[in-house]
Amino acid sequence: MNSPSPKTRANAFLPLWYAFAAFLCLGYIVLPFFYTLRSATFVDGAFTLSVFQEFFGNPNHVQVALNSLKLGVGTVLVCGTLGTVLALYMTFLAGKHKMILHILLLSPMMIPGVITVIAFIQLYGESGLVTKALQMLLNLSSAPFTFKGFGAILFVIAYTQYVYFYLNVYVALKYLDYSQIEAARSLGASWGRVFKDVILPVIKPALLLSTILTFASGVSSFSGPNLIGGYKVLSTQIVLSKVNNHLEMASVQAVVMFAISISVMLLVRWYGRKTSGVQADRVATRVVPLRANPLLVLGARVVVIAQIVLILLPIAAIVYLSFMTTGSIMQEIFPHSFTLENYQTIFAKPRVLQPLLNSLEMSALAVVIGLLITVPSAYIIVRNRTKLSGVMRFLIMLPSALPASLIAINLINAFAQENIFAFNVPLIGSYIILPIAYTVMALPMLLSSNEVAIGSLHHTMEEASKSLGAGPLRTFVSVVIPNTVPGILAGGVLMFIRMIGEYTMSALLYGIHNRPISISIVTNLQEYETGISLAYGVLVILVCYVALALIFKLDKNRFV
Amino acid sequence: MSDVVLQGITHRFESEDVLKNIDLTIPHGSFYTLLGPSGCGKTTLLRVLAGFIVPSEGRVFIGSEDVTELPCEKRNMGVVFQNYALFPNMTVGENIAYGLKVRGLSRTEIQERCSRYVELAGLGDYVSRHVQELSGGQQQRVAVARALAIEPQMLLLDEPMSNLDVALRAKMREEIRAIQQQTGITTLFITHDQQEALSISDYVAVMREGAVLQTGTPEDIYNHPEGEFVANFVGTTNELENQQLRPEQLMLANADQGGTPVRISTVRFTGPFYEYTAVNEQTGEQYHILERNRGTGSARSVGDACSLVPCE
Ligand SMILES: Nc1ncnc2c1ncn2[C@@H]1O[C@H](COP(=O)(O)OP(=O)(O)O)[C@@H](O)[C@H]1O
Ligand SMILES: [Mg+2]
Repeated sequence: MNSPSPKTRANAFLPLWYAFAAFLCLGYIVLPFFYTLRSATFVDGAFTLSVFQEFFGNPNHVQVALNSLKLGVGTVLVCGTLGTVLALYMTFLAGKHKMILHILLLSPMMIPGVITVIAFIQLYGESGLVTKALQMLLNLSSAPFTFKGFGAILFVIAYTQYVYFYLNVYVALKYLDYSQIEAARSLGASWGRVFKDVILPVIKPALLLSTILTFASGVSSFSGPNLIGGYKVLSTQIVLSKVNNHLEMASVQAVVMFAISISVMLLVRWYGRKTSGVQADRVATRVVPLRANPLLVLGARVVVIAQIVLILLPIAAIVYLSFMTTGSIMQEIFPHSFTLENYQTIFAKPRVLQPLLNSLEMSALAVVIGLLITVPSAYIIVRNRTKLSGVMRFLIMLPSALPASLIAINLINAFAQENIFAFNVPLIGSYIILPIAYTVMALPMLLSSNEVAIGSLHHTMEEASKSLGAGPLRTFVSVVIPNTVPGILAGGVLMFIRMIGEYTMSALLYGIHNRPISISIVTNLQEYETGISLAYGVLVILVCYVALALIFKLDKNRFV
Repeated sequence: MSDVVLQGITHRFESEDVLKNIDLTIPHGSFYTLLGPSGCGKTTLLRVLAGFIVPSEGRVFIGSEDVTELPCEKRNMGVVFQNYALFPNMTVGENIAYGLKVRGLSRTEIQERCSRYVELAGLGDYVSRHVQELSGGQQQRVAVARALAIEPQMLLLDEPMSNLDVALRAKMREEIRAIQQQTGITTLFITHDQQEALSISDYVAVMREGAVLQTGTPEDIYNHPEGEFVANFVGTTNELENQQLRPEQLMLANADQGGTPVRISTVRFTGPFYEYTAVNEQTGEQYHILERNRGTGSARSVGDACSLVPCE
């Protein structure tokens, strides 16, 4: 963090900003949660726990909650193993092509989850390319496996969420003192012991943080369970309850989901604090390719190659199939009737193109609003560490603890009727509700990325500028902006990528005015317009990759 | 006797030869120093010996056993790293006991051996401290004790003094030498400091750009350096009448005494010695002369004309 800076002179702007931030956070984050609590506990204007009783009295409901928990735990275990192995391999063993491999390994995070799921279904589903290839290869009369239920869902989630573990552990390993490994080895320690005694203490904070993140996304994951099916979880049941107009039940389910994810988060935090060892001195040493057991190296290499194949296959499949007619995708074992029809349809019919435009517009809007809120806030927080700025930070970071389904349910509960924070305009069903939801979800990441960008600008730089005679405005324009904008923009573009294919909140909040691309991808698939659906997917991936290239241009160090 | 023998060691990093055909014999029980400027390959050679890297060419023998391919954890080498590489998540005692624990020794044995080396390194009061709370010198003692506790065939020390301040260096140098003499362990010591090398070692090998230029006792190296590089690296030399002479092997005589005529250009007083530089005004050649302080003040001052002669 930054060294303590002199308190900026009190000015009129600060209280105004605090009031503004408080208005937004209370109105759109905190109070909506209380609306949900009220919806869960008040029926016909009277307090009651009957909906909770309905939930916990019904073994089916309880099973659904347990399923979510199981999915969260499974996600952590699979992603933790996979991500850590990959990070270790990349740190100690990867030689050639390290940069390319690294970017490839990060890439699943850059593709919207719903597109990934659909790609996986095209590959491994009942009539998927891989399924059919295996069936032919092994000469089977039916598919060699069914791509349904817990295993299939976990497979897809693992494929996307391992990136948290991978990236965090990879970064933590940069602080490992390499000679400690050699010291342990020369003292006779096996690789297992080296991992336990030398590497683990260094990467433990990264592991705990990633555990929190992946558990939360496993528990709340929606696109996998919803599209693959065969396994009911809270997120899918929330949508069902809402569709059935049982909003009280949806609220209870969202609260239960929140309770699960927040208690695991607190548990992991508590464990981390209880066992926090002494932090390693941060020495950078030259990493020399290790003389490891060849079997270990081979094993790691197999994992990496398998992972790269797993990463490339869905993209290849989705691009390939998007150039096939829907008829050929449905009927031929290996479709081969090339066509541009899918893309032509999208660009020729405004009605078909609209969802893509909606999503571009709404994610851009969310990022712009998000930046307008978080840039000044981050500046205040970094330069002005007071209790008040701490409270503001806490409020803006709150959504990071809220599952996407809960954020959406909160907004429904708060803004289905007139609400003073929306100037008494009902927002549900209006265009703006989705950009609002996206903004709420993006706030924490935007704030932290802005804090990093602004924090890296040492306050002495500003002081130097002022001492040379530049006024505050001049200093802001000529010193603060040029040195922080690339980082701020890169963070914004990253959030744009995250929001463009957002599916969970979209499914609960979209209406006729703002149908987003994720919803259209799914409905087209369900209406057997597979070709269109996949072409949509390719277009979104394309947008994401262009945006990603922009991030690399703006802020090369963000991922390395 | 299990001497350690390096035979034709060559090592390449990305096609650059970092070690070039090195032959070295480290006699059993000796204190052997690798001396050379930074980047000449000392650490790489130590890492070959420790088993962290397999050399591109050449063999490593301990006694008659070829250990070239033997991985480091099976070699039983005690290594003290340049930055000590202590485990920050463990106490002093846990650091020292680590090698014994991974060997699966019994608890009493671990305790017994651990306290022996804690004693030897003079760390009695610090056993349960965390290593970050220790000073540089204490950390070094822990590193040495940890390496010795496994009772290795050999102790390898990579520039152990480079993180210590000057005053502490001399002290730790003596301690390490004393521990080596007490235990009789074959020791390879790395340094780029010639004084350190000369004062502590039984044998010295001078390295440059991946090659060993000369090996021998400190006296050999100092008195009979082979070639200009060694001569200048282990001290200052003067070339006089086709002889390489150390500053203390030269004398300033009065101008009329024959010898090489020179003029004094600087005088520096260091306490026990006067250091002069003198120039031969005909050839431009510069000389360094060291004369003992006899307590009667400097015999020469800047600008004096003298004559330079070798001591008898
Ligand atoms: N892992 C490595 N990869 C590439 N070059 C290396 C590596 N380790 C050392 N080198 C190079 O080998 C040469 C010798 O290094 P080193 O043995 O550390 O020298 P010394 O210890 O004498 O200072 C240096 O030029 C160094 O840059
Ligand atoms: Mg070195």
